[in-house]
Amino acid sequence: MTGAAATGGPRVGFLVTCLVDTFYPRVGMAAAAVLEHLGCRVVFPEGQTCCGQPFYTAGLPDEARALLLRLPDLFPEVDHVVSPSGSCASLIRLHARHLCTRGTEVEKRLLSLAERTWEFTAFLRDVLGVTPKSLGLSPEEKGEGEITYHYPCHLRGLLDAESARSTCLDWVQGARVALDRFDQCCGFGGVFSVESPEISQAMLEDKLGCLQRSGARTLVCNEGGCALQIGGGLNRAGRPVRIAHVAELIAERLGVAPERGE
Amino acid sequence: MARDSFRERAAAATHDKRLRAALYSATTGIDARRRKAWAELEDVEALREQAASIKDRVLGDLDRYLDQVTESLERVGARVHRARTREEATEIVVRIAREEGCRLAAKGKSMTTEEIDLNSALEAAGVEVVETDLGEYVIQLAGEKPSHITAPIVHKDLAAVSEIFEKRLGVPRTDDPRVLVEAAREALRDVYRRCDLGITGANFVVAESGSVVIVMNEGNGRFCTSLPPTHVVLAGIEKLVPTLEDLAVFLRLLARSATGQRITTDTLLLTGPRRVGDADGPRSLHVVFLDAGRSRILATDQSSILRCIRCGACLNVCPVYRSIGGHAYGTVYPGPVGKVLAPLLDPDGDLGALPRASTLCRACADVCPVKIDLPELLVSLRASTARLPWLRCQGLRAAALALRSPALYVWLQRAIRGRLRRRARNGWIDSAPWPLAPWTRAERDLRAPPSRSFRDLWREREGGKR
Amino acid sequence: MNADERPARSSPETDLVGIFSRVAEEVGIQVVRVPVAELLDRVRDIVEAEGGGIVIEETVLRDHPELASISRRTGVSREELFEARLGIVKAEAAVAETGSVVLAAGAGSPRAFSIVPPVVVVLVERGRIHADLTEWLRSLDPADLAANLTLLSGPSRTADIEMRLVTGVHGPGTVHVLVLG
Repeated sequence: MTGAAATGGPRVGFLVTCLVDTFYPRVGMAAAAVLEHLGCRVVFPEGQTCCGQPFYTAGLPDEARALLLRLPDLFPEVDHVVSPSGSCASLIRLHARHLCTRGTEVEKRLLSLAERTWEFTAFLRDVLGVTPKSLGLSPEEKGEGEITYHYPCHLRGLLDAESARSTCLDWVQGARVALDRFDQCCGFGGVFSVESPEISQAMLEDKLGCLQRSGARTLVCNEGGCALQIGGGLNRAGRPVRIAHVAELIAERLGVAPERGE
Repeated sequence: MARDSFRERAAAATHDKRLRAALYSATTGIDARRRKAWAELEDVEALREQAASIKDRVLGDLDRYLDQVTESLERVGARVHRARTREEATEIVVRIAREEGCRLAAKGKSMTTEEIDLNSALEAAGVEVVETDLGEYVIQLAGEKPSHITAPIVHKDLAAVSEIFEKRLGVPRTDDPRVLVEAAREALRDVYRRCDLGITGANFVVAESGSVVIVMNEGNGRFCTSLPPTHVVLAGIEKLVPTLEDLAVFLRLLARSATGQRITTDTLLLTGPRRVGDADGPRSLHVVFLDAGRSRILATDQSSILRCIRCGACLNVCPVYRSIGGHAYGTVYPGPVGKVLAPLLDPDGDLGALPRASTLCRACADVCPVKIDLPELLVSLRASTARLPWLRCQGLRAAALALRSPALYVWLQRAIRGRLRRRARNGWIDSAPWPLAPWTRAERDLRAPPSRSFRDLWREREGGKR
Repeated sequence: MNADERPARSSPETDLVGIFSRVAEEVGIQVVRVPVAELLDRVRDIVEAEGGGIVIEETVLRDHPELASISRRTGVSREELFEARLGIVKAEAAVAETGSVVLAAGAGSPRAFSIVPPVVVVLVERGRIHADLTEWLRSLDPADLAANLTLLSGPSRTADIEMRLVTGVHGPGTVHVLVLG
């Protein structure tokens, strides 16, 4: 594995998130590999479990807070926390401050950590200041087939849709095609997908319809929930569109794609 | 149970392809126009902040502003009434109609009058009520309810409207909307000629001057408020703005957010009934301020919902609304704002399913001209009045507790992984076990978890390094 | 450069007329700039094109008595009002930002003359054009407002049916604005 120097680069705590851990381990490995290739010292504290998001959205703020407050001790000496999932990053960056208002010591440490918690693409662009150009990679338009981008709605507040899309598509090779309503929610929404399955399905149908019309053969999708939803719909319909996290595509481009895992 | 009804109605709506086509086309079109109109503003963010802060100022001191507006209204000769409940409001309007001998009412579009079901009360009292806004007129002809806050027949395509006109007015089927508009115009002109009562809502009421502000496009509002001798305004108490200058902020935002226009065709500032010497105008103007739960909402954590200026922008971007339409909600106010407002206005209405029917995608929050953080309010409701059923709650609590332990997390992960992988073929599950069965009952498969998780792979990698 | 060769300075007022005209045209108002001396001719042109059955505000006749040759009908019955084809009214102001004219109800200004007839002709003095809504609202005295102030910003319209725009609904379907001066 091409590595960075053992010293010097930022120390990054990797927050894999339960969906990536369970369903998309290769995405996690790819993201970690890219971070290391870019000079970060990546640590993965095994004590991490779930950030608390499903409980926050279910209306159980105490449970969500309890899980969030585990984080400062899990990531004691990192410069940054990086997550391949925007929804988990946004819970920590944007919502933790509403949940943690008692001013306790551990709450303060969490809020400080929140300021150093990043979604993967935002980290590359805004903290490492890395772009394909800065790495000497040309914005090639050849490569495998048509490619498009789906904006995970929980990135709202972290990265706006247009800049998220252009940042990601800059990294990938292939002819870019437009996806209608690319920033419209795919209908996952966590437990919503099983509590309101009919509405979830209707939203998925619209997303798949737009995807079909785009002619894309690869969909850049940087969120585990969206990937489960859209990927699940594509498989049921028998449509062979590849769904990839931009971390996987960057890893492939940099030659650090993980050999193992799915 | 109402909760099952919402789910059933929503599910049925998702199968109505004609409805969904109409909704997608209309809402994406209006939103595109809104974006363009917002982009034209020099600093829309500053304007939104201003609007939110003006509304918060009023809501923070509502009694004082209500007193001020009452004084201003009475000073210009308007009669002011306060209705604590919906029933009181309808009683007041019926009494006014009776006292002033009104038999035929021309009505402008008003969601507040829908809220109190005013038409039924007036009809029962022998007053004929005719809706004059085209969309509302069609709704009335069809015997339905509006399905959107600003575009009442967004759920109907042209063919459906033509069918209604044929059935109720004898207008031959047509695919030219102008023919239908002309037919409505003819029918309603006759009403304007004869009506003795005009009923409208109010978009804003200016406290310092006692001005009732109404915005419309069709001209019907001007007829209703100028020709008949009696004009009744129904306004929620949250419609107040402090000064005329404050009004500019809202006039800049409302039409742009609702229809993408810089301003609506008709913007009326009505300050009292006709003055002595005026050539025409209503002899009496009554303003009925409606509480009906608003002051109770003011005291909750969700009070910011009262900033709402009823532009409908949130409906136009909501993927849930686009999929099911307004009627499925079963409430006067549908869409994102309705999901918060309806359960708050009707705490006993068993509307707990509504705040849960959202992915919290934040599309609504991005377009609200008064910066109501609707997703935050939805979560707040989920934590208070729209809680999960007790058993589900306890189940989630138990899960949250388990997740505090890495060992339990890994154990659970492996158990779930094993269970799912056993049901999988080629990495996919087409029939998921409890509690995930609804996933695969919809048109999607469930990806099977790979045999090794990220932490397995990481441990292998780290082990390989040593 | 001597005075004759200096390029004409466009006053802020000219710019406002320009902005108002452009924005009003965008919303379907037909705007004409009219030197006061040409008012009668311009109104006659419009009337010839749009047809007879004219009602006219007393306030318009007071300010522009020459228009009496077009119409003297300042007071009509309800029946006559609904038969009228064209109303001539005077705006007390205009707003360039939104392309609107401000119609104020009063003794010689019936509300109905700009509501009921399908065509309305609005006269407005060029010096009464405000730059934007804020300026206009600031110019009002909250203790002394007309009972009806209408900001009219185009012919009546609806897109209720399948989002297809139709102009000429209940209110006037044709709006002419003559900017005087």
